[in-house]
Amino acid sequence: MNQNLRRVVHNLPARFLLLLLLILSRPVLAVSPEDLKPLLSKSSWGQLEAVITSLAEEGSDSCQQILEHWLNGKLFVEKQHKRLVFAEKTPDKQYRIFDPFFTEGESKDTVSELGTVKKRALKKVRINNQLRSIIKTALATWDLKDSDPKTRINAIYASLKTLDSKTLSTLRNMRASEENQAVINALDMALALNLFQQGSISEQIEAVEVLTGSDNPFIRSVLADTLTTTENTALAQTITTALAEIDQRQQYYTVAENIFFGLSLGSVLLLSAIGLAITFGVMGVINMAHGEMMMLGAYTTFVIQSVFPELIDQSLFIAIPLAFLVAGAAGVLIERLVIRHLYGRPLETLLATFGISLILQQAVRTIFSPLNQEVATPGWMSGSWVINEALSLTWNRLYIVGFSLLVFMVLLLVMRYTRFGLNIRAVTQNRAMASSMGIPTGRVDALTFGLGSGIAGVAGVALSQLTNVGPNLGQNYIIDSFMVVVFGGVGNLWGTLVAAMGLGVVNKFLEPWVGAVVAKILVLVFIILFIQKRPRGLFALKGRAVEG
Amino acid sequence: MVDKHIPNNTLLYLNNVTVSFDGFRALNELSFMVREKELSAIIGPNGAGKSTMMDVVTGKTRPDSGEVFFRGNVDLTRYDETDVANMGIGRKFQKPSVIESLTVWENLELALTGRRTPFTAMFGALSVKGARRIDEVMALIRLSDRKEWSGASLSHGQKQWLEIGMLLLQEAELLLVDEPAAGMTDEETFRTADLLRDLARERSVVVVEHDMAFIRALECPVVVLHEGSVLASGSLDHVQQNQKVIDVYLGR
Amino acid sequence: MTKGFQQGFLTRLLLEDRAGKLLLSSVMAITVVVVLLNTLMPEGSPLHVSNYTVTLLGKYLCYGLLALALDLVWGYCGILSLGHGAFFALGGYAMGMYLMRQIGDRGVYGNPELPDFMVFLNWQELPWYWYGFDSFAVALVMVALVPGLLAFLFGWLAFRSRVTGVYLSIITQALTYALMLLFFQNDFGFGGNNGLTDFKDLLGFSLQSDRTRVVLLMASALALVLGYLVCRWLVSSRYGRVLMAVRDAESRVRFMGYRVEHYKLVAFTLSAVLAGIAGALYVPQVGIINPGEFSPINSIELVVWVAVGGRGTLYGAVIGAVVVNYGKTWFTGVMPDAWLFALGALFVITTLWLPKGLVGLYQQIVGVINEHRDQRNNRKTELVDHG
Repeated sequence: MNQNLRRVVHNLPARFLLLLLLILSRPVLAVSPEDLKPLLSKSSWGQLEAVITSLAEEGSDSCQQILEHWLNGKLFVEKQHKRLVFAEKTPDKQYRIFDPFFTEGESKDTVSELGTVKKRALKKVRINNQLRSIIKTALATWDLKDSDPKTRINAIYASLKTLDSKTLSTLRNMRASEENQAVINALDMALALNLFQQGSISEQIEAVEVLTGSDNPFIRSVLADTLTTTENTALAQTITTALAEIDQRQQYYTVAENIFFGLSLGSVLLLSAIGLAITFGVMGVINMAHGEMMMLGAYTTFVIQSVFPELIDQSLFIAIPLAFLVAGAAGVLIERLVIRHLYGRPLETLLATFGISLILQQAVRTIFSPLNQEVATPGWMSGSWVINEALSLTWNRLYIVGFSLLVFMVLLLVMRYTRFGLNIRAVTQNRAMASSMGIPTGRVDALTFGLGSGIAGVAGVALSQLTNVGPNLGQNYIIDSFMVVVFGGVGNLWGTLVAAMGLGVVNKFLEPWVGAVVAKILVLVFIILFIQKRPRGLFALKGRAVEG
Repeated sequence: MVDKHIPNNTLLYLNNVTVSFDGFRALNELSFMVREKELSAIIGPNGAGKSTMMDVVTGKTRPDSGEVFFRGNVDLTRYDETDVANMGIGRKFQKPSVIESLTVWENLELALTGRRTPFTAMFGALSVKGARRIDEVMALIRLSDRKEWSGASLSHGQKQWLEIGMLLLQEAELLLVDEPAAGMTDEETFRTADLLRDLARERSVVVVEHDMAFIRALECPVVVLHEGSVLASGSLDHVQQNQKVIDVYLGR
Repeated sequence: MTKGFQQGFLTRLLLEDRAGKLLLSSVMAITVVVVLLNTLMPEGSPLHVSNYTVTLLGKYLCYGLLALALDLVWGYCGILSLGHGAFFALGGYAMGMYLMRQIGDRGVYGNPELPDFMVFLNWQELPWYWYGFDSFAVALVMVALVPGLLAFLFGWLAFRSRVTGVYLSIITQALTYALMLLFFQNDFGFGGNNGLTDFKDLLGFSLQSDRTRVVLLMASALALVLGYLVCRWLVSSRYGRVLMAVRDAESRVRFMGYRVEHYKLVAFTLSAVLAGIAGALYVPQVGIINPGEFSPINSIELVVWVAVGGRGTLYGAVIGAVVVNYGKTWFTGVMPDAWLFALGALFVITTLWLPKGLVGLYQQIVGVINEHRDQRNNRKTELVDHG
């Protein structure tokens, strides 16, 4: 929400209007209920503008709160007492009303509730687009005083385009008292920019030195514009060097960002391929319903969120084990009922499991709906990690990269250090020998398949945070997953990891050149060609065992 | 240059051939040779490298190092199975691998020497001479009355014979025969031995076998393989008295 | 004399293929009957066959030809292609491009040079790969050439490096998936999402006219019959026996001196061409071709036709295509939701219990009946003996 606000503040006409208002209107030192009177009765747009100005001038948190609610359509007049209230709709179509005034020092969140009223008792305070932009502009200056340094920095950068004397003096005052280094840097940039725009040649050159350190796109464009107009060679030279430095840094950020996006895509590929690396890679069973196991996981998340709507933040922690169980159970069932009868006939297995995938898809369509379902993102996963002006990474992708690696490591440990993992390896390497040593091969098969499917279910939970949850969710990943497993080398978990991450990064580096779809096609073609060259994948096991 | 140290009548020559799978050395500097029109036998415990040796000769496996020459100067390591087969090296597998869905006659027809491109297979008709040759071989391997039987319906021994018949029609100069007597009755075993001795009159035959009675019936020089290289060679009696051979193969 | 030879050749070809003979004669008979009932009977008559049925039958026959093409590589050579729909679609697009050019200035924008979607995209001139498609002959060549060439290149790469089994299946699926993504792109120049449609006429005959529909049906029947004969001839030649040998024991065939990859390549390419022809006949009958035809599910559905009919028997593939598609038509009419359940179940049932499809089931039933009859006869003779 706040970000939206800031974006609109850039709206130039609005700022211009505000300036005009500031000049024309008589300064008000404090806001009294008297000043707010125009809000209570039918007043002209001009009168309402004046109220905004006075609220903005006063600058208390209380005023900010009123403006914000006004902007969001939550500021009402309660007819009976003729007073201003904030109102919130309750599920039963009533309105809870709150007192908008609180004394300074009190927290914003402790507004006192005044009771519940019917809609008829309230009248919304009027607003139009012009007022909206004036309010937004007014709210932006609050951000310069915000307690959160990040908000302050953003407000500073937002003010760059309209550095008038008033803003400058605010910034200079801020610079004197500011303690946060990052905010000081931002302030220095803003002041340097001003110097660059207004100062003498030597001052300009000096300013460029400072501005070189900035990643702000607006500062870069100001520099570039000046370069084309300036007649001073020394200045031009300084700017050229500065631009080169900025651009090079930009390039690093682009590369870093591409790598991150690539790893993020890679981790999705890893998650979707990792279960397959068990069922196809280790067991040699080709399961075309693998994607539908992911779909089951995603729908499990959806169901959890629908049943416990108040637990959105915790929903994923419930969904992960549950999805593992649901998809794992489905996997065991499929293995026992169908695949068991088809061992040694891979093409038949492929067809039968494809049939199962169709049935599962249609089942989901019938039970839920053919449409995509809304899966909410928990609060702790939204937003992004802002590294600097040019580079920020979204939390959900970061979490999924971490999660995919976690799942991978857990699986690796299970395979290597548990009795179950030992049994799996024994059965896949020498079934007859394992059987004669008392390992229940049939049960190990079923459980291994369940493990692979369960992991697919867990992957589905993660995917529900990134893509649409619908009946086709699985289908979209099945070919990619197979490609990753085959590319990495069948039966080699590390190969799957490297292949997934490698393909993800390559894909993201290709995208800016050729577009997303062609990049995907190129990667597919590359894998097809690669399989020609090394039919057993990147990290092939060589020898007789594999050739059977 | 190469043929300097190869005797003139050598058909197949392996020198220092090494093949390893994931660190395991299936063949370890194996050297040995087969002369023209000679019958020889290879014995050795499981994992001694017999099958790998055949894979190397027939182009299925590329050796890591060493050289393999056919007819003195043809470097076999540069060719694949199809090329090697067309040069005149026939191979019979340990597991009888006749084409199960085709009849005896059709199996033999496939093996019959001749051009093997898809187009000759589509448009070329079987020559009278070829048909007669198939009939001859069918009689030789005693399957004339099973002409229309499918490969799948034959007994194990009959499949072995059919495969030998297919090798004959391939007109190979060198036959590599892996366990031809497996699953045969005693009578069949001896007849197979006779047949192979007969065959060796016009071509070279290398037999890999476990069955000592069968090897004895072949009356030919024997090479003992162990851990990928030659442990001993000579007549069967000679190698059976070799202490190393007794240790590793014939049981301590 | 030539005619005598041809008849002799045909008789020889179908001599041991009673089922094939039966299939071909029924295809021809049904086509003739449907055509006659459609054209001669007045519309109100209970004997009248609607245009809808004519087109539907034409579609089924195209599917039959497509199934035949897949059976040639899967049933006889063991190559389970999950991308044969791509060849069908490419043939369809080649025909669609010809049909687009025939629209001329009758499109919505009335541009005589450019198809509507290009005008819509603001293209100024026809891209080079559309050149020549105003000629029917060129289009016909492309119908065979484009799928054939793609299959040849793909097969050359895949078979040479011995990609087999499920690996091959997966990369064929990736092939059609990649093509689908490509054809969905507007810039690719084939109408993007919407594909090619709004066709007006073919060789000057309106596609909407009853006569044209009937002719298209007959052309499809003819193509199916000819396709069947070509496949039958192939599989009964020594080439066909090598293919089956490759299916059963690939490496053995190599050791016999056959260049297996060449054999596969010829079969795969030929099969792609047949699929392309099927697609080309299909498009004017349904009136549209879009990237959906490339979707992997189409190709895999095709596999189920062949599996249901009975792979490795050419007539089985055709029967499977018709039966499954009739089922699809019926289900989509009665309970559309159930179709995918039914299709999914078909996959499982055929692989688990009907490995040889309906043909195998029929043979099994006949076998049981014969055995039963033999037993009864034996018992009778025994009774006679005792009596």
